[in-house]
Amino acid sequence: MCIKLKKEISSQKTMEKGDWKLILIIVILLVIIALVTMNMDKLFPTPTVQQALTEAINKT
Amino acid sequence: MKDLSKLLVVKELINSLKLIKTNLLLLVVAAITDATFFIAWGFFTTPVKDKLVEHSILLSNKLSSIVAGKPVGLLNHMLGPELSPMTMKLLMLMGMLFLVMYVVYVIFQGTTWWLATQISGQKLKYRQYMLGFAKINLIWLGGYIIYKIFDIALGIRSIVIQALAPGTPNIAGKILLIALIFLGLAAFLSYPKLKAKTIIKTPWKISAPLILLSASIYLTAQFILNNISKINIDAALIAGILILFPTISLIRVYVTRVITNVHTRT
Repeated sequence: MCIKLKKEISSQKTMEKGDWKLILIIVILLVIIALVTMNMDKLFPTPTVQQALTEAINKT
Repeated sequence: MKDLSKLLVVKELINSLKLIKTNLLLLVVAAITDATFFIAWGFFTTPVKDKLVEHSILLSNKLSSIVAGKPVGLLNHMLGPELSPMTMKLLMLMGMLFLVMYVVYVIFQGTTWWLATQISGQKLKYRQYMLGFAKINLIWLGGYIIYKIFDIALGIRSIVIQALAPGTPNIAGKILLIALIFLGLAAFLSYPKLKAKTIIKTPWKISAPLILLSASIYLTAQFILNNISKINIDAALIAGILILFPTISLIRVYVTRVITNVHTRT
């Protein structure tokens, strides 16, 4: 099984330099999206109950 | 009696099983990528969806306090000076959700489909395939956005109609569902050759049995998993990884083989 997999690995020369560059771009893109989605509260803050109450009091 | 093994759809299924057997490493990589896709989908889209729901509730609360029982000119209020910042935020969040969904889908599904083309014998470069996959999915994303707009509009219409005349059949909803299924199948069949019109250009005598056999293979795997889960949940999790993802890869290879065969001959 190991010899079979080793033969398969050596025969799978389908990735060029440009392909590896694309993989790097994909990884960077995923990291950026992860950073954005993990900081949604900072990017799109939702008013807290306290803030909503303060706003309502100030209006009256 | 007709020899079924000579039929293209049956012959290529047998070939696909043989190709899967000789490309085990690629199969394993495809299965891992598929499993990672489901985790990544939840991880990346859930925070955006949650934020979208929060802002939808906020906007609807503010809107209802402004219109105060007179539900007319809602769109004017939403685009008016008081609510337009919130409306714009909501639209931005919707745009962001579609963008995140698109990027995650293209990255992971593009990779698994490329692996399927490699297993099936096509020697397309990864970069070349991914660019084509990203382009073609812009069409399907556009179709999905149009579907979603109609879905929301028809959903609201259905609620109003049901309130006025309970029990009225939702025919428009059913037509929309058929349209969604057609969109899904068109996308699925477009991925081997990266051509949007594949579903139209493939003879129905090939595409119909291909879709039926693919669905049968998938449902068989699901059936086995469901029965294993009744006995042991942990075993079902392991079985899911060992059975379901390779089955999905097999279907991709099979579809790629048939579509490539049909469109090389014609």
